[in-house]
Amino acid sequence: MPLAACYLHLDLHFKSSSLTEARWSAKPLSVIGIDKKGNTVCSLVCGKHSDIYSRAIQGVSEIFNLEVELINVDQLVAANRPKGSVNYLKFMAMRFCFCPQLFNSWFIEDLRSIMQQHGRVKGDEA
Amino acid sequence: MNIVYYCFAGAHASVVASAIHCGLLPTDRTPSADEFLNIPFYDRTLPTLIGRPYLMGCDERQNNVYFMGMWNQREKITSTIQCLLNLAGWKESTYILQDAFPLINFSTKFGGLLSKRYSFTQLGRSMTIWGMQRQYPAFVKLVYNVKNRLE
Repeated sequence: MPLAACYLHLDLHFKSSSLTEARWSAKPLSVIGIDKKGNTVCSLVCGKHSDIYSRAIQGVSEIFNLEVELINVDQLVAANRPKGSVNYLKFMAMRFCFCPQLFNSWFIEDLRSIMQQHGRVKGDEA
Repeated sequence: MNIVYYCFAGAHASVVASAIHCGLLPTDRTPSADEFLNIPFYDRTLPTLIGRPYLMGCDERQNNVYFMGMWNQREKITSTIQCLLNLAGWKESTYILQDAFPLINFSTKFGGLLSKRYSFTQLGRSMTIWGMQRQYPAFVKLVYNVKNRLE
């Protein structure tokens, strides 16, 4: 999900092969690109420890005066996904199964509309 | 320069290491139980705030010394922090991230579990201190090595 969100933010074409590549990356933080405003867009995979990562990154950014904005894509999607059991199943399948080929087109469109609602696409904010 | 000691919960190992670094604990003898309890934050950091860095103080060279807990994600969180700092242009020579967790023994781990998770604070705290006193020379050596890296 964070990788897909980064691709949407950068207005890049998202392929399922990108997910497969990212899956084998040993490091949780990957630099995906630089948006039109010059912000570096990164994907952070932190599993169920998002709160610990979030506190650590915020704390370190205060110590070192870094400008970091964290966007919890899981939380954003969970709070804004369309209602209904089918959508819930799609969301759960995307979140807990790893089958991007199946869920790619469904999910990317949902994610795009959620991110557009929150001004997170095409470098509006970073 | 900023120095960050980290461990599992940010309540014992990193607190003691950072306190030694700041001169709040002696390096020539093993501190008493009261001295451990007088360190700010010792066994008092909240498990719900794991991940947050706390400032312990400054050393004799005016370096800021912090401690933090990273749960079982120490390797991954340090790699994330290093990557972020690298992106922001901070060179590795301008900060130190030091793991203090490998130094603690079973007594401190078990005491920490009793104190923080099962709320047997008195018993757990005593066990952590007993364990810390046994491992204290190793902590002094760790801080000595970190200070050597600063020179």
